[in-house]
Amino acid sequence: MKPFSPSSNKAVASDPPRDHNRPMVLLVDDDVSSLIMAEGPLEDAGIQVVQANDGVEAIAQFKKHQPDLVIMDAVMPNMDGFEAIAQIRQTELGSHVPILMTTGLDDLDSITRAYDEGATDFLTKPINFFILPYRVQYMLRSKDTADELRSSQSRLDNAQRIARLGHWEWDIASDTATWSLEIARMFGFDNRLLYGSMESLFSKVDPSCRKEVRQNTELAVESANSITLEFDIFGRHESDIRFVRLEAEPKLDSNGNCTHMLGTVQDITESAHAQKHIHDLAYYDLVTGLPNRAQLRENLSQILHWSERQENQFALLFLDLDHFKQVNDSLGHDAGDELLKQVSERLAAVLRESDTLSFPEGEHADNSESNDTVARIGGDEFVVLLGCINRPEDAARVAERIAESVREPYLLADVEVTVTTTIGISVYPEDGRDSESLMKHADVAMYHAKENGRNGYQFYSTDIHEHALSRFSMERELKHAITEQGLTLLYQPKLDVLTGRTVGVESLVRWNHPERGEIAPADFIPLAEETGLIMPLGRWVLNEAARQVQEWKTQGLGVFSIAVNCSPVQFTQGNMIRDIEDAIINNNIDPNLLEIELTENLFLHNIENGIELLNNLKELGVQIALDGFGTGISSLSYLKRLPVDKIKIDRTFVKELHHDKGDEAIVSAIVTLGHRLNLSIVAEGIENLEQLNILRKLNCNEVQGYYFSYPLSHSDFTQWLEDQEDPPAKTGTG
Amino acid sequence: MSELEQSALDAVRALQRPGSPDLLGRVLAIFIDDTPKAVETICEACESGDLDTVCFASHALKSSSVYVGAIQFSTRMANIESAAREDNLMMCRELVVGLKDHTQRVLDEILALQDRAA
Repeated sequence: MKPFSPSSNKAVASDPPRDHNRPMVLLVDDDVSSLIMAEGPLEDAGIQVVQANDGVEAIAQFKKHQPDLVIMDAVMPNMDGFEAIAQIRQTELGSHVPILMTTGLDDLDSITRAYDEGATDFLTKPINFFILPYRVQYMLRSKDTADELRSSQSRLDNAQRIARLGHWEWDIASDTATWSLEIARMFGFDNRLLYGSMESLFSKVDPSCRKEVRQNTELAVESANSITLEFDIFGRHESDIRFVRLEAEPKLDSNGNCTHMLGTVQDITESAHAQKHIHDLAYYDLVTGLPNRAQLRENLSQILHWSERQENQFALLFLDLDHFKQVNDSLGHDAGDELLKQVSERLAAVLRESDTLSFPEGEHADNSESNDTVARIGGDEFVVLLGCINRPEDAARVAERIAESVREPYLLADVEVTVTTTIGISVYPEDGRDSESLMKHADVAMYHAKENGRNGYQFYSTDIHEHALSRFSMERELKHAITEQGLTLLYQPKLDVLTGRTVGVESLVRWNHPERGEIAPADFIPLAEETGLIMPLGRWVLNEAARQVQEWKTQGLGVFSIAVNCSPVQFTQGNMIRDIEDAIINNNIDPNLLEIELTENLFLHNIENGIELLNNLKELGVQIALDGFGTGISSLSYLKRLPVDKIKIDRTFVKELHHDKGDEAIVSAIVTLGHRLNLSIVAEGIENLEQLNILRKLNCNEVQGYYFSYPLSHSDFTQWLEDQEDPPAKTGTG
Repeated sequence: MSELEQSALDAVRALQRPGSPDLLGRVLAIFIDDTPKAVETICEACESGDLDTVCFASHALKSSSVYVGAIQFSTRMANIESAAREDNLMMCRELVVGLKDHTQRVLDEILALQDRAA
């Protein structure tokens, strides 16, 4: 194409200086006549005009003057109007400037292309120069409105960004949600995507509380109520966790139904951190990081409340470091602080272990793990709150462990230091039912302990102290007895009521205390059950009984079963089945020779579990006897479901059997019932011939009691068996 | 019959601002200056078959001639532009036959108008 410039009369002369009180229009046309005709009316309307003859000039003029509006011809040399619009739109200032394109009315392609390139409006040629200023003024007003809206939007965005607060709106019927830029930023959405479903917002909520947030929001819609929720959200990625507060209120229609929810979400991560920091400063000790007196008071108050309802015991251990002042004076305060830190760590470690320390082997307090507190309440004073104890000895045990742990040496500034602690203990509810008295009494107890020599512990109540010490030492002694052969078994024979022959033996455990002599089971089994020592004790008994019965068999003294009494605790807290199996295997005995005696207490809490246990026992091949039958409170109806082999009639029915017809009737009923269920019946506690005769008359199968033999030592029972070579005398009709 | 429509000239006169240079005079002067060259370009381009140039130049004259009231001339330019846009060289060549005379008639009337104004 040949270069063709339609006008030699360039209209673009030097531009006037910008008058900021007037809007400015950039007129672009290669037709100079159009330019000079348009200029007058625009100037008359108070509009400043600058001009350009083609697209290239237009862009230069636009950048130079930043006009408020552009009137652009379409067809021009060098660069046409379409290209010029496209380039102006790409500049920051030009992205929103109104551009009025002038084009022939018949040229529909040009109109379409003009809009595509970003023209705001178009004007057909020939231009009506009288109307032009009105059109321009209208567009300038629209521009002002749009500018104001953009600026308002931008102010809002900025305000929301600074406040970390975004807004959202949920149209319930269509389930569409719109949200602000700040929400997009917070939730990690694309900045251009400011709408979606409510679920897309919920999807960013921490899964652990997502369901709750969704339900609460839906509930607010149903009930047309406002809500405030606080929860974590994940932003762009899972590590971008923000703590936010959502507030929303319903928008109602004329019927009072909620049609929209309007809400805000504010990122309160930092203020929550600050609040936590403030809380920590108020409730935690700066040196050790432990709870301080204020926090202890709160925890104590909660424990009091809880223990009152649950009727639990708890303990407060008040301790200070013996001679802490000397460390401070000789090594300086930094070393003193370091010592406090290390002591705190040890206390916390002891408390972590206290569960296993306080509740040995299988025994656990229900809520022990979360209710313990170690606090530093000043200087070298600490308080340990044991939130749930079963008995005062538990606190004594922890106190002992603390004392032990604290007296391990410390390394402070390369110097090895040893300190000890003295501990006072108060126990709820015995030593007080409120925080003040419990704290005071623990403190008093500590001073008593100091008077009695440091490095120890002392209960506030003398009775508790004595009792705890005695139980504590008995427990230690029993533990020792179990491992160091301090226990023995006695054997009481069981005889066939008709033949008088020894058909079995019941093993009975005794504790040979080095100072107190022989202790009966009633005096130490409850302690063993409470402390969990019943498990190792029970294992010892099982093993010893199995070993013994096998030994007699090997010696040719007879093949008979040996009964072992088992505590329900062994079943519920230990692994009794495995223990029995081990005893059978280790001693290589016929399982049928082992008879497990159980009381109805096993079924007290859960009959079904009890039945399942017995079934498992039966699978081992052992015999099962139900001890003390008739005294329990259980229903007879379950008896047919129990896989037991024997019923042992309780001695209370045998005792007066020969005087009391009622007892005879009961025994008769038990025997009949047992036989109908194919169970063998054993009577215990037989002390005379009259009792024996009645039992024989009632068809009882086996008998046991002082009338035949007291519980015998191993050697006496061996002798008894050897004497069996002679015909039985006592079961004869006499 | 006159080539120039009075109403169009009146419209330009109405745009005259008091104290400003004679607007109609400037518009007419620009037309007299630019038009012969543009017509010459159109004729030459038709001759050589350069339809882009024909289209571009006729488009420019189509607008400028309207403002001086040369409506028939403007219509002729619109037809040439349209034919050029449709790549119809034949039609373009037919339409430029007598174009220079037509141009001269318009220019003569404008010159007469200028003389009267002077």
